[in-house]
Amino acid sequence: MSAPARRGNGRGGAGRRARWAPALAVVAAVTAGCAPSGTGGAPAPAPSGGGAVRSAARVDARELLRDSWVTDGRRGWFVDGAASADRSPFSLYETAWRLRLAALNPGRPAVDPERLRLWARPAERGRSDSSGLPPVAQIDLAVDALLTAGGTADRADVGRALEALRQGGGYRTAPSAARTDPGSTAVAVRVLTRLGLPVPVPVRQADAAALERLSAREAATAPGEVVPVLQTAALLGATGADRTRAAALATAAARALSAYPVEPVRLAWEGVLRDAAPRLGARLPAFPAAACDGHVLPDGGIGLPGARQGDPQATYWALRLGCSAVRVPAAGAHSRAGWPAGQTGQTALSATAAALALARGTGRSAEFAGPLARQVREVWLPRERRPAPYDTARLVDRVDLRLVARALGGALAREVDRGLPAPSVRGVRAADDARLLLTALDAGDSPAARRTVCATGSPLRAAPAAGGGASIVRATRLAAAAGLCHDPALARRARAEAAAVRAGTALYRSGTALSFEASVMGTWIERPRADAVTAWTRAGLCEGDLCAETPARPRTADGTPLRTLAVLTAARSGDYGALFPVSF
Amino acid sequence: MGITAGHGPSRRTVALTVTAALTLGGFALGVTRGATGSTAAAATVPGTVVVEEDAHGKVLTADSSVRDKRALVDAVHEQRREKERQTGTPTPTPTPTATGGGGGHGDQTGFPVRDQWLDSAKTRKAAVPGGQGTLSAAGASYVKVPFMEYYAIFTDTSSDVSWLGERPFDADSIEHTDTWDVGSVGAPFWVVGAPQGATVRSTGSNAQASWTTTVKDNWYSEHAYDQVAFYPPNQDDYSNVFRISHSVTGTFQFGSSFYTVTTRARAYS
Repeated sequence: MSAPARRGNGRGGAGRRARWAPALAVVAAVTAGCAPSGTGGAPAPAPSGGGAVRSAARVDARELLRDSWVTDGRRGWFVDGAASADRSPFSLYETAWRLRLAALNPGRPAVDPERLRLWARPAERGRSDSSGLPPVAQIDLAVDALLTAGGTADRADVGRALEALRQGGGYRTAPSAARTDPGSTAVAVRVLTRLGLPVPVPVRQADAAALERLSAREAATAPGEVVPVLQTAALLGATGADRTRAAALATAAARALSAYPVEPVRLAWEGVLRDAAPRLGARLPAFPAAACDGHVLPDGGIGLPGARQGDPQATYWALRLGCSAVRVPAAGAHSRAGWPAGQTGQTALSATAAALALARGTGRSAEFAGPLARQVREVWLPRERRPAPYDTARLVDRVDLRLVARALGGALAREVDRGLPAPSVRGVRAADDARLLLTALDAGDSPAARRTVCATGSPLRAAPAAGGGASIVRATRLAAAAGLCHDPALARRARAEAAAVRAGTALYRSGTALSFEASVMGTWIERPRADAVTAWTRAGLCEGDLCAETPARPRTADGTPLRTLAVLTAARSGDYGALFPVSF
Repeated sequence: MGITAGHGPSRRTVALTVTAALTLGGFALGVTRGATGSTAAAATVPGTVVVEEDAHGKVLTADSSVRDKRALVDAVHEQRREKERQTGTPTPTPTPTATGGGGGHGDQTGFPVRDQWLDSAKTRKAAVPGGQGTLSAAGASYVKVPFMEYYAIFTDTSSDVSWLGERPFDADSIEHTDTWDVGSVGAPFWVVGAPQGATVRSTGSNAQASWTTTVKDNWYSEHAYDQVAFYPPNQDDYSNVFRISHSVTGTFQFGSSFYTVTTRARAYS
């Protein structure tokens, strides 16, 4: 147990290190353009020179926690990135259409338009790359969501964004699209008229020309091509011969659509056609109220074909058309900022552990406790029944679950400890620093588990192999093991390993580069007397509440993850023991 | 590619070097339209047409002569399943222990690799409650993860999104996105070899690459891509990967309406 600190890690010794160098240099060059980027959150301040500490963007932790809190009324959990533009956990599609659905109901769920705007603003400009939607649809849904929630849209930004999509008399789905299409044109005109923005003359002329060109035969054979032209005509207030032509086309299109199967595409077309018909002077037969019978899902909605749950857009149109068997579905789990995207379930446990660490610092844990405890007991704990060996993902979930339970109170922590299969080092190799670290954290709640994993010969207490460089991950696992096993020798090794990658007070490297993650772990191990946040700021890792993995990146960050904010809160209070672990 | 070739302790070096070289090569190549002879994926299914291609990936759509949509999609999925059958279930790869082992694909010291296929599909074999139409998204990616879980490489990614309804026959546009996502403990990960034009993000605990293309006036979009790798930034600070996923999203435009379908497959999560 007396090996020197800067020894190999067992996964690659000194010899391998040399062999890695050229390859890593190439990788570093290749990936220079995709280096770790921002940490999500509020707009970044302008960069400053000289490394001076200056005031910069701060995040209101209490407000962020409330934005991040997702609940269905019974259970609840947190999502991360609530104020992020690039990594929003919210779904623009779900939020916009669920708000429209909710507007049909008197007891509508509350979404705060100002909190919605924090993440929907890029979509207003057609720049929400993570939405999976083309820009024209982003703009439409963002404006729709903001207005339906009772807020306002930025008319100037929306006008500019739409103008970038215009090509002559029509609009494109995206600036990169080669040509315009009637559907995108109808969407753009809908947004412009809704916001009271002028519709360019060429667009008006093009729609009139399209009406003249289209025949009743086309309306009968390809109603989908006619409906958006009619929609635009109605929005523009077609008059005279145009209106007469449009009314005839609407009648022909409605007749053709009546032969289509009852599916979301038809429902949407029928809906917009019937919205347009009165303004075109067309009298269409009523949509049959029984048409949706047999197509309604158990949640009362209409789904995309093959889906088990209702789609909010299809359900909205079915309700608007008067389908008697369709019901307004329950609002479902959402936050005051919007409805989360499906993939957020994958990271909910991690986000919740981080949120509770932050909530502890702001004294707001209690308001979330009830629904969270139900989430732990009914969802998260039951899914962790598999016995050892545990792979990294399983260990991460176990540790996050323990962090959540511990934050919610001793009784729940004990319940989780009893409910989880025992911590174990089974299958973990002595060189696997990350899994050893997680195992040490996993065993922290149980004296019996501590005795097992700390036993003589356990890989948790093994000295690092000789050769190779120092590692902050290894230093952290040694420190965690030292704390768990009350082993001063391991503690000394941990400090020596951390010191070997220290680049300054509270500053540590990952490999050769200064790293925020490494600096948090190193500060947790060495507990310097100095102000860590000041050190991180001077080094360019943080500006205000914006931090990033590598120096000078905070200025490109668009928000602060919950974990980073919890770390900053702990560091500012001088509680370096709370820097790690926050969540994985 | 790269990762599975050769034996011994220098495997990771070889893999990284080869990957980096491939990536640099890919960056140097412009995308060409209507190209043929791609090495990115297996032979294309009859009825599909390559609309974009470079050394690493392809974007395909359906030929306008295709009338039986279901048959084409079934053929694509059958080809995908056949490829998975040929690859087989990952098995332990015992190798000499004299090197001490490192948990890589070449020096497992008898430990199994954690490679697996990530398959996802939504509305496949759909009992269509709404009628004839089906919005479909499906994908597969072979993810290579060594026993020590310190990197993840997605190879042989293929995905397709389709509108299987008859009226209208085509969507006005289809926006098709593949997203590869990896969580990590410890150091942040580099994303190497993402498709040209892809959005890449890496923070301390998560790395992601997202590739979006759009086709117009068609009912089908298909992606094939050879390799996206997630590597730790250096050989000393290995951190482990978890929450590995591949997702496929299709947004279909019908006039002024847009419908979205997403499917996702995960490993270690």
